[in-house]
Amino acid sequence: MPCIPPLSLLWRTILSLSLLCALFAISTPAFAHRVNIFAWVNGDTVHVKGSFSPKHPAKNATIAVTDAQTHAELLTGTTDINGLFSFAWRTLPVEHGLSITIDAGSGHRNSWLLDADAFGLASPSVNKEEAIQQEETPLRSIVREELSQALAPFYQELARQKTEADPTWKDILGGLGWIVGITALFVFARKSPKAP
Amino acid sequence: MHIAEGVLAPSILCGGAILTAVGTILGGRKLKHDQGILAGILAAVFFIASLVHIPIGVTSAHLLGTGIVGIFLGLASFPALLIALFLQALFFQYGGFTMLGVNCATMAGAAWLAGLLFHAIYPRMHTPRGFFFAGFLAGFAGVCIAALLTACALAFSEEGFVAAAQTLVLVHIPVMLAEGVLTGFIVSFIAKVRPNLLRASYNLTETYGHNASHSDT
Repeated sequence: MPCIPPLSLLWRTILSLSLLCALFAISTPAFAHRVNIFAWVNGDTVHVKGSFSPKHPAKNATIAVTDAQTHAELLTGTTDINGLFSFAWRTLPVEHGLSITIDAGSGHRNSWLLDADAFGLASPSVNKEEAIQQEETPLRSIVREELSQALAPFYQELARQKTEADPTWKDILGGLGWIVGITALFVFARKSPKAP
Repeated sequence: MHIAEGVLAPSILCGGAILTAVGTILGGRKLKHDQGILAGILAAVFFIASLVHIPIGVTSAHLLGTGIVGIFLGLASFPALLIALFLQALFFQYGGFTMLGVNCATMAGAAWLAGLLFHAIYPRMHTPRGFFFAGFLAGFAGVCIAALLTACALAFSEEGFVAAAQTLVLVHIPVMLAEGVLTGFIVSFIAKVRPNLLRASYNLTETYGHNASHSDT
C-alpha cells in the first residue's frame, strides 16, 4: 500500500479554504433571507423591482398582480435579469388599489400594496367647482407625467431604503440582549441542583 | 432558508407548530440548570450566524449554525432556536411569526439530527483528525438536513419537493462546506481543551435525566 505523507495543519487549512473559494466561484443562484419588492407608478406604467439585497436582483421571479380588495388575479409576469417587471395599468381596475406579489421560489415571497392614490386618480368630487378644478387638462396631464418621471428615482431610493435595509447594530444588540435576558431568566428559574 | 409568510398552507403551519411545541417541551425538560447558559450562547450564535454572508459568485448565502447547536444541545435545540428565530423575525423580519413553527421545526429538527449523527461518530474517533471529521460531518449534515426539511415543508406548496430540494441543496453546498470546516475546527478545539463539554452534551442528547456523570463544575 503506498504511503501518503500526512499534510501539515497549515496545508490542510489552505487546501480546504481554496476548495471553498473555488466552490463559491462556480455557484451563482441568488439566495438570501428574504426577497424585497417595491412597485411605483410612472405615467401609464407600473414598475416592479424585486431584490434580495441592494446588489442582488431577484431574477426570473414570478410576479402576480391582484386587486387589493377582491384578490382577483389581474395579471402575472416574470422579472428580468435586473429584477424588474413593468406593466400598463390604464386597462386594469385600480380603484381598489393593486396588490403585487413576488415569488422568488424556495419560500421567498413578499408583496407590495399600491393604493388607489398612487395612480393619481381624482376622487369623486362633491361640487361643480371642484370638478372643474380637477378636470383633466392637457397641461395638467403633462405636468403629472413630467413630475412622476422626475420623482421616480426618489420613490425608488426611498423604497430601497425602506425595504432593503440591512439589520442595524441596534437590531443585533437588541436581539442579543433579549437572548441574554431569557437565558438569565431560565437559569434563575431552574435553581442549581443541591450538592449531595 | 427562512420561509416567508403566505407561502405555506395552514395545515403545514399547524403541523410545524405542533412539532415545534413537542420539541420545545421535550427539549426544555432535558435542559439542566447549567446547560441553560450554553443554550443561551448557542441561541446567540444562531441569531448572529445568519448575518454572516458567504460570497457565492455574484451573490451570497448565510451561515446557519445548526450543526454546532445540535452537537451541544441535541433535542434542546428546539427551545434555543425557537427563541433565536422569534428574535430574528422580530428584529430582522426574516421569516415571519406565523411561520415560526415550521421554520423552527426545520432548523431545530436539522440541528437535532446532526447532533445525533455527531454523537454516533465522535466516540469512535481518537485522533484530532477524527474529531475534526466528526465535527465537519455534523456541520455539513446540519445544513444539508435543514435544506431537505425546508424542501419537505415546501413540498405541498406550488413549487413541489423535487424542485425546492434541488435549489436549496445546490445553493447551500458552499454553506455546508463552510460550516463543516468551521464546526470541525470548533469540535477539534473543544475536544482538546474541554472534552467534558462534548461528553456532557452526549448525556443531554441521549439519555433522559441521567446527568450524574456531568462533572463540569
